Amino acid sequence: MSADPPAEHIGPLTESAEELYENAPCGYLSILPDGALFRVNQTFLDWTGHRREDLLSRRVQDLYGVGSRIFYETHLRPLLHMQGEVRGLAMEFRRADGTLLDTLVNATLRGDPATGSTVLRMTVFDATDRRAYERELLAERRRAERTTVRLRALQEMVLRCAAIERATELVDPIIEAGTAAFGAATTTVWLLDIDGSVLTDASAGHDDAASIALDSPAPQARAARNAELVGPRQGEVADQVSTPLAADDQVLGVVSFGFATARPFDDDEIELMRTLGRQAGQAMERARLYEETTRRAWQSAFLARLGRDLDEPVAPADRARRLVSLVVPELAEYAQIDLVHDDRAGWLAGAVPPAAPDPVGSIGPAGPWPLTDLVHETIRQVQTSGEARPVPLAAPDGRPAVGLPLRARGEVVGTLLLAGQALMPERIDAEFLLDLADRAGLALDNARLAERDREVALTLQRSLLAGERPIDSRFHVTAVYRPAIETLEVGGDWYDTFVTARGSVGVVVGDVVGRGVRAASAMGQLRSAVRALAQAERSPATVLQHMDDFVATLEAGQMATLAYAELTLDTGRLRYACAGHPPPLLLSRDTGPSYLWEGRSGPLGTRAGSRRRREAELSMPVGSRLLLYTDGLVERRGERIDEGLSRLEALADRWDTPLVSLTEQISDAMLAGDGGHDDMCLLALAFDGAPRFDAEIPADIGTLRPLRTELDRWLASYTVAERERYRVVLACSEAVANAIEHGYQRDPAQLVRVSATIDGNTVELRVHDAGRWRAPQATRDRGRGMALIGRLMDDLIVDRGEGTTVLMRRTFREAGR
Amino acid sequence: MTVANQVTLLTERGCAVVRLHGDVDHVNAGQMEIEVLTTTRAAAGVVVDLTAVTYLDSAGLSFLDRVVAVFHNRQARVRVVAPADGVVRFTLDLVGFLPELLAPTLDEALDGLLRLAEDDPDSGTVR
Repeated sequence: MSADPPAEHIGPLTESAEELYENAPCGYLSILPDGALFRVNQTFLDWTGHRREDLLSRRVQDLYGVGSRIFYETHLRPLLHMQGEVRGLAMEFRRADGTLLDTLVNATLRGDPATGSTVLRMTVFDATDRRAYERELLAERRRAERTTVRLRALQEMVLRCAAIERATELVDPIIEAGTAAFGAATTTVWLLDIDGSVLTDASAGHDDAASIALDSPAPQARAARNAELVGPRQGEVADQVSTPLAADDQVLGVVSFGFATARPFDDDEIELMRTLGRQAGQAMERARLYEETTRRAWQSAFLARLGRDLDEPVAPADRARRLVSLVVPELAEYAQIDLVHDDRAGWLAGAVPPAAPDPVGSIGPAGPWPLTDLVHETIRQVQTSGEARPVPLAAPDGRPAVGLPLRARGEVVGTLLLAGQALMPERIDAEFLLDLADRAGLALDNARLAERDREVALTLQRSLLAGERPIDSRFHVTAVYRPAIETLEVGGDWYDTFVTARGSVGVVVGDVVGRGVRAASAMGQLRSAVRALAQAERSPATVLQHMDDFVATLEAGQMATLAYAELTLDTGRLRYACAGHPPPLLLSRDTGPSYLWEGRSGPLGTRAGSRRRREAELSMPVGSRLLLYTDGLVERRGERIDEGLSRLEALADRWDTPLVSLTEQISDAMLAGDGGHDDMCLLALAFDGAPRFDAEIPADIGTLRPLRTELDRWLASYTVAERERYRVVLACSEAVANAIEHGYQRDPAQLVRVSATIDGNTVELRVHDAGRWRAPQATRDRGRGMALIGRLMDDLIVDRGEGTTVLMRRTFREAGR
Repeated sequence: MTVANQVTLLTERGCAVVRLHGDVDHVNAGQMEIEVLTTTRAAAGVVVDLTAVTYLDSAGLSFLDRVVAVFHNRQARVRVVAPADGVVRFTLDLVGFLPELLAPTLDEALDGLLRLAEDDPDSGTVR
């Protein structure tokens, strides 16, 4: 450079080649084949800060950055050897200060024919700006790619959330999105509880879920409080970001992302986190709405079914059992109903989990849980405070339980205890349980009231049915009444037996339209009317005529039906009349069973039917039987009534069956299967006539011996074998002794009535006392007497209605003398 | 009512024999029990002879039950005579009276008691 001409002379033509070389706008390197630098221009020295003398002793490879050095070895050198030149290659040169210079190089390999050696000429252009630009471009592209991944993760989450029906199912997609989009080590979904005071970790199980109070300084709580993301400030690093889970303006919870190491977050990332919180919040709100709708639908369907099932007319205990079977297992594993009766609680129905063979009505080995007074008191307090709510309890076996007040008409009528898990706990809330308990309480209380009505009606009917039975040895009567099986409601069936002053016995069976107390009261009036008329009027037809007049004044008696028969005891003359009632069945030993189809007319007070009252008459043989009954006995659903009549006829043709057993057997058989929809009664009259033994003896133990003598003599007159006589006499004496001692307490002013009939080779003995039976002092002795009778006789029936009647029967096995 | 004429006490082959007559029933079973138990108070072996009994009811059965129990408590051996085919035997069989206590005749009852006394010389005869 010292050889350079003065500047003022410098013009385009004054540039020397040397000057041009040294200060060219590019670096210039001449390199020997082994890489040794033998010439380098000033520009290159300026750019790299190397000194010329340092460079000329070095090989060019040593100047390359690590990457460029490998590139030189693997690409540049082979290319040069093959092509003789390369252009525009990006190479990095190490500066004297160690930093790298980005360049683009062209290189040419030239041979020197004189020496036969080759030289590599390399021009080097500064590419610092261009490379910086390229790097920026690359970073930008990578950022865009990352954003795309994040957006995809977010979209994925939104898609998955859209298909979700339960809010809790959102937790997993959110956590996965947190990992996929932001590389979070942990993502936690915190849900705000119903009061909005506590955040609970929804990702964990129910029992060990962590929780954060909303007023705590924790970032999650702050995010929820302020409805704003909590993360690092611009340019700071952080290892945790919390963003609210929000739908519209409502904060439902918080999503917090935790990172393994603290790092900076760019605005896009922060904005995406916010978006995730909003999207997930909306999905959650939607799922909650859906859940709410499903829950409401399920709840109202459940309550509707409950109402339907509890509406059927059954006794309170049955209703309670139904209720239990309805709520187990859907609402609980165990349910128990306790009803308050006059301030005393009584357990009604319980159930164990369905694993047990009989879930309803059966109880675990420990029995029903005794609900302490404390529980009742708590529930009562809940009631009095007017603030009904479920009372949380711990069941004896540790299961969580809840006690619900059963309310009806403003009173707590009992408690419903639910214990254990429901099938779908998310469908059940306190409001629903209280609604359920209210409906159940009302249903149970209605059943209780209905039962009280039924009891009144039943008592009324029983008082009608169990009137005094006439005692006359020339006939005997037995009757069976059965309420309807399904409803247990008191129907309108009734019967009566009475003796008239003119030596006849009247039997009547009737059916009043309607049920319950009204029907029972109508029955009572009809019964009294028939009794009074039968005493005064001589024929069944006239009794019915007067009954028509009577029911005209008695609304409930309209269209009542009845069959009335009167048997004159000394002649066996039977007169009967039916007012719209099924025909009596006569059982004659000689001719077999036959229905009495005569003497028919329409129901009482009928307008459409015949009111010309007819009657019929026949001679009833001694030993025959007459059956009166109501339609409940012979009617079955889906069966014609004549089929029922045929069945009855076949069943009644049993002569070896004592009358009392016969009526029971007929009732059981007729009502078996599909029978029992209606109430029914069956009355049987047996005409015993003479011969007979009849005695009334004072309740004095001393009369036993003369009675035995007399009875033995009577039996002997029928040529009954001695041992058989001994049996009958012994049995009779035992029964009379019982009557004297236990019926009358040996009060000689009272009378024991003894009668006996012989029918073929069967003797029937009857011992009656009108006393009020008292439990004997010496139970063993009395029991011995009855046990003895049981062994002596074939049949022993004790009828303890008004007084006590002991009916005994023996068919003789030993021939008489 | 007195039952004195219905209860006879004798001694046969060294044993106390209580012979009952007529009906044993609700009317008199109570008095009979007292009569039998007092007259045999000292006996170590007793035969209750029902051969002449014409009627036996549940009160009579209870009476027999109780006297047998009392004799057992007194460590006295007891036999009941009831003729086969008689009404008393019929009643006793009907209620399952212990057959080993029953004998059809007085002699057989005494044989049974004396056999027991030989096996166990300390008791079984009138002291």
